[in-house]
Amino acid sequence: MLYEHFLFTRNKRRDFTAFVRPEKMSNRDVSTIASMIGYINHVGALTSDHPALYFFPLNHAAYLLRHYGSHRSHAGRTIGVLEGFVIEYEQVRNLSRLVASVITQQDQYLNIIHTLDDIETQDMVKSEVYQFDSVSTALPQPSKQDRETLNTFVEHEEKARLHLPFTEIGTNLLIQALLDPRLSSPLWFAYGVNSDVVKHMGNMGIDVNMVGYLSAEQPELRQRDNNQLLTTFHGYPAIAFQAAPQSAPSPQPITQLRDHRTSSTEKKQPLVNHDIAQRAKNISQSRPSVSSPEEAKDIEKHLFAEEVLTPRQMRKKYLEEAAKTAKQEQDEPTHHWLQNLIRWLFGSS
Amino acid sequence: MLKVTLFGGTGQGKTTYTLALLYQMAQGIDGFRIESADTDTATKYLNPWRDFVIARQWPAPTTGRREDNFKLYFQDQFITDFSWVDYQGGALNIPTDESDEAAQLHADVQESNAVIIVADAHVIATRPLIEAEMLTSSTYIFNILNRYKFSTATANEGITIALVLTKADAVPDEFKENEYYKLVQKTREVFRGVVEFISDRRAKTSSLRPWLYPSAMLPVSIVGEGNARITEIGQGYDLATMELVGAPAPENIHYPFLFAVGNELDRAALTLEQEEGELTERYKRLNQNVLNKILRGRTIKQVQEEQLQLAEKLQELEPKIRTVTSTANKKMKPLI
Repeated sequence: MLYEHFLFTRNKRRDFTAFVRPEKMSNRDVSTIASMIGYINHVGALTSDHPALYFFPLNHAAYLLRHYGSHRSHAGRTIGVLEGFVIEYEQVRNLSRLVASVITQQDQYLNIIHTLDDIETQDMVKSEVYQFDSVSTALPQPSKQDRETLNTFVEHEEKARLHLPFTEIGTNLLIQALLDPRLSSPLWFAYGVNSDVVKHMGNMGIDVNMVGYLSAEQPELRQRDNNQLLTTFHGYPAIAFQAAPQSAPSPQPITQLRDHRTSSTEKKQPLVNHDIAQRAKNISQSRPSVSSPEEAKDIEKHLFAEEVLTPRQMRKKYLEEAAKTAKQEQDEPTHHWLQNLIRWLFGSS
Repeated sequence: MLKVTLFGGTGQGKTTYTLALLYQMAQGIDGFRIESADTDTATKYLNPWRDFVIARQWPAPTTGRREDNFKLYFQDQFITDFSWVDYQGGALNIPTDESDEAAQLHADVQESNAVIIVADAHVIATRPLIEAEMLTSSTYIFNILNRYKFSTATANEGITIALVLTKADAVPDEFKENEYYKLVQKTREVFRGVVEFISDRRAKTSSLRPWLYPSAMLPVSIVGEGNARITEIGQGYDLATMELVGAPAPENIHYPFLFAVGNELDRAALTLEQEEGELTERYKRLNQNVLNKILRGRTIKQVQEEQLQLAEKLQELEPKIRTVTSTANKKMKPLI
């Protein structure tokens, strides 16, 4: 199988970008995928050991990707990494077994970011084309319960979607479904997501066969078109995904500019207070920091600034001022002429 | 439908601002309320906001572009439809041939009636001027506005500009004094490209109509005073890291949005008034002699009807405009 690499993340200099992308991938394709994962708010809960997994078609290619929160952050928020393989669509028909094998060792195969020297200095590049021969890995065997679940899924495959919990049980079932020769191939999935992502994928024309929601506790079969529940597979323990505890914030801030915490007895000041008395108080309180009379004037202007005008109020004011100026200019010569006449009549110098 | 585009540099607080705004407006504030096109749209915004409030987890950064349609109401009276477009910050700093978002952002700004620019007040207050310019992307913002809204070809169309200064609770005290006097002053320096353009238009010598660019700014806080603390000051590309230490209590969030919508409605009314004026002139000309009345009676009637329709539209718009602008314009600070 021939494939290319895809890596979508951000570094300090550049916001979310496809740093590595296939030769034929368009900006529009990148944008489609970016807006898709834009609905993931839980990226910090996804780890490289247990990432969200995707296998979906987009234009002429199939994307086998993983999504997780890196250890890097920007403005206090975890930076996500979306990376993996892009395979030409013609090749994907009989790849289900290979996909199953890759996702059992996803941290090894889909780890594109580690093929780069340093993401912080990385520029956008086109991927090389790689050859993928085979994966030698022992694949898990289905349990009796798995077999029953898959039998029902096979029966309803055309109209139903398999909903999985985002747990070990779900991952195992995902792999078993990919290995089941009775199910269609390719078998598309979005695992470790939420319904907004799936809905958005649907709007983009991407229909998946299996989904894994973080909130799901047990595998279920639901109608594709209206999400109506067909079956819940009760043979599994009801466990929903639980994010590994993230490292607690340091009790002593590394650098604490100032502590904004206030005790309950302290009164919080509103951000911008337009009350006149308060303004006057503000001025008197802040006098020591005023460096010059000009600045004091500016501050006064700032505090007592007129209400921001609407376009029509602005136009009215502007036209009034223009009329006033015109009138003054018109009046001035008359005024001078009158003065001169009086001077001439009364002979004053 | 009004199109409001929200943009700004990366990490400036666009996503958190949007979530806070939609949360507040969904419940209703000062009598104003918004409704999304469907319940799922509201849920999409409310879920990350819930995680922010309960789990104290900052919302994930926006990737790509998001557009949703809403309706604005005042005390259950429909005001206007609007479409809200939100971008990942990087769309500003990438050439259009490298990113679809960048290309779409340019198109969106071009089509927008109003823009809400989001800038980090903490960056503005604490970084040297030139760094603040780069981190808030003020130069890039001016570049885009200049290209699509300020340059001579498009300048007569105008645009409403609301500048939102986020994280205002985190700025040093001296920047908070006198209703954020120092912050406002420095913001004017950081965004001097936009500020100077607006100032030039307001100058009496300008050939452009100055009222086409209603613009204002406001410091806002999503978490509320005292509810967040800085754990890392940030340097270079790294922005300050903040930790939520109390339940968020958003302050002033809705005013910039109402400013953008209200002033845009006012601009629409201005156009209607101008059209009405032109029709009145035309009517006068047509109606001034008997021969015209006989020969062009049908045209006169049409003009009269159009006049009437415009007057009705204006009458309908008037209370809506007053409602929105009287709330927002009082709170906003002039951009110049």
